[in-house]
Amino acid sequence: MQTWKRLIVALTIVLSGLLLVPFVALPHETFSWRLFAGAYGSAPVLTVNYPDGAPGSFFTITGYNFPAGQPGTIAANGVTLGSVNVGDTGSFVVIISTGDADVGVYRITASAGGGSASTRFELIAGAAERSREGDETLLTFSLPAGLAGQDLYLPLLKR
Amino acid sequence: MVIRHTAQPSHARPHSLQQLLGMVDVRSVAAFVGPMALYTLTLAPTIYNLDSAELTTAAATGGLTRATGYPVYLMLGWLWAQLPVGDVGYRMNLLSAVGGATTVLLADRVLRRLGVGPWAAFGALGLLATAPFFWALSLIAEVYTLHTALMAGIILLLLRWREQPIPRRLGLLALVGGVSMGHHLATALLVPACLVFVVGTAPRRALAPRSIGAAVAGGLLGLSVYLYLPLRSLGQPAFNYVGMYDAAGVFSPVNLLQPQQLWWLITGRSFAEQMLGYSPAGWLREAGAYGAQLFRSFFAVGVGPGLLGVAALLRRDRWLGLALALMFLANACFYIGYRVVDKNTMYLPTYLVWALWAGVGYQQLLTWVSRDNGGQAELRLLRGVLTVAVVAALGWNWHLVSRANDWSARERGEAVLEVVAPGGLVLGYWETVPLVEYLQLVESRRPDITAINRFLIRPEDLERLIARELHRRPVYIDAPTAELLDDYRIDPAGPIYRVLPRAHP
Repeated sequence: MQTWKRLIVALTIVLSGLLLVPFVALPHETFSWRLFAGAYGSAPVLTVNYPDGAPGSFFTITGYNFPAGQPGTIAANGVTLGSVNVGDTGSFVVIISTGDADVGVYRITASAGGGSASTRFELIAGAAERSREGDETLLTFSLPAGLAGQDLYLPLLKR
Repeated sequence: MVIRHTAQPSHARPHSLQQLLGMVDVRSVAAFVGPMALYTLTLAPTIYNLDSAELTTAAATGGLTRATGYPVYLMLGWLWAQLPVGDVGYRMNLLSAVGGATTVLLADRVLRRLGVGPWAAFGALGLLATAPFFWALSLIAEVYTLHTALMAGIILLLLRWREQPIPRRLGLLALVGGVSMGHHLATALLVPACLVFVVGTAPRRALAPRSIGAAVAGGLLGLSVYLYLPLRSLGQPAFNYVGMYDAAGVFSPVNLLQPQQLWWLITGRSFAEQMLGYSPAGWLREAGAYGAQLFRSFFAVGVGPGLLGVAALLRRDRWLGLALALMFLANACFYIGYRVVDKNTMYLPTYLVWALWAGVGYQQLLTWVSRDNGGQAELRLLRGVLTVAVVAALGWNWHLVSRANDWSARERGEAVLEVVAPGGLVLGYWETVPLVEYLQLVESRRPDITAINRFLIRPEDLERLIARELHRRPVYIDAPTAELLDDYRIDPAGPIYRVLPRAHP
């Protein structure tokens, strides 16, 4: 075989891996201890400041133990309300305003960097109206109408 | 200084600088200085976080670390921490850089013995040295690059045994193997390959009583490094991760003077649940992720030559080919099945083997292209491609890997010390407590704080401890559980949280 043909075969072997780049991608993740922080840590937790309130109330939702510095989303009964950035401590705070929302149960779910947690509150006609708490600059999401759910209690069967 | 072996009689001494320089083995110097310069430029400037902080504090203070004990790292690290350069965190990061550069140097010595020339070795080991995780773990205090350096040394000693299978060489191999085991238990994954190679290449010599005696003696001497752990425990070190706290916050160390307890530590029983931690389908998924990781580590271009090297070595050097394949498979299979979040940092032994294969593969190609004394231009072009691949990998990975400006761990530790009130109790995981302990024990700051790693206290004891201490002193935590959030008020305090009694209406 001529030398230049051997060179082409050799280059093909050397560069063959490049054909897989569109499928596997080259290194792209920045190395940092934060990649592995929380390896033994607590699971993400989402809390709400009140379990219920009248329509028009404001609820403070606080997330803990989420992957620090990651972007995430907030959803109510499966409908995404918007995005949130997790802080360096793995926590974040958002306000949910319920001026347009219907009476019913709302399950709030936060997801960020592979971590996810939920909490719930209920809007009840005639319940105390919860006023806005905390910093005025906190990210606020409005609950749209038509999202309300209901608690469903299944009958307990016992043999 | 690395001196080239010559046939000069011992009485012939160099008379000039030129002669002296002529004796310097430039290739070996480059194999060490090149990666060392790269790692020094990109080294983390101070204490790093997680395991790095734990290992640094344990080594620098003569303390004890968690399973598997790492006695060689603790002893060597204690000595290394005395170096008068940078802070202690920087010094221990530098030890990893030396481990990484030594791995490249010894891997080059292996490749030389396999007839691999400098261009092919540069192409393969350049990719190893700049592989993201290999590079990154050469920049922070960790055990992995010292492990790969010892592993490269073991492979080199295997080749020396084959060249001259005498008991002394087997004894030396067993000695280094024992020390390596004392450094990292994953050395056990190399044992089948070593046995196959030693017996396969010189069966009669290997099984001769004198050889067996030398191996046993060398191995026992090497393993004697484990004695450091019980001996050190007698001194009741201030930093001790071998034990548990109770609900009163009292630490009960594991009694390492008892053989069963020592065995529990060095065999990593506390991590037994994570081993073989996947279903067959999960294992296959993880194997795919590992394949992608290997692909990225060798910047795509090292994959083809590596595969060529496997085939070439198995064909022309059956025992070495088999031994390297066993080393690769044992490490890859074990860590693929190891269910921990940071396992990508643990594959370095497989990268070392792959780099050796890639070196052999590159050499095959270079030899083939220049066969019959022809194709000098083609040869230059191929060498150019190998060089460009290494330079491209270096340039691509630099900004992903460099820790040269990373002060984040120190800043986090100092921020914790800043917010904790006098006499406070800090309960936290690896990203919090080892940093606090480093600042306390190594830099003598805030001795009034008590820091407890939550890995060393059962969750129910943690809750009882918080309930007990809350009315005695300020209590802080780094990742509140749902139960704690139910029972207490949890207020942000710098990078952690302060636990307060819930105000009752």
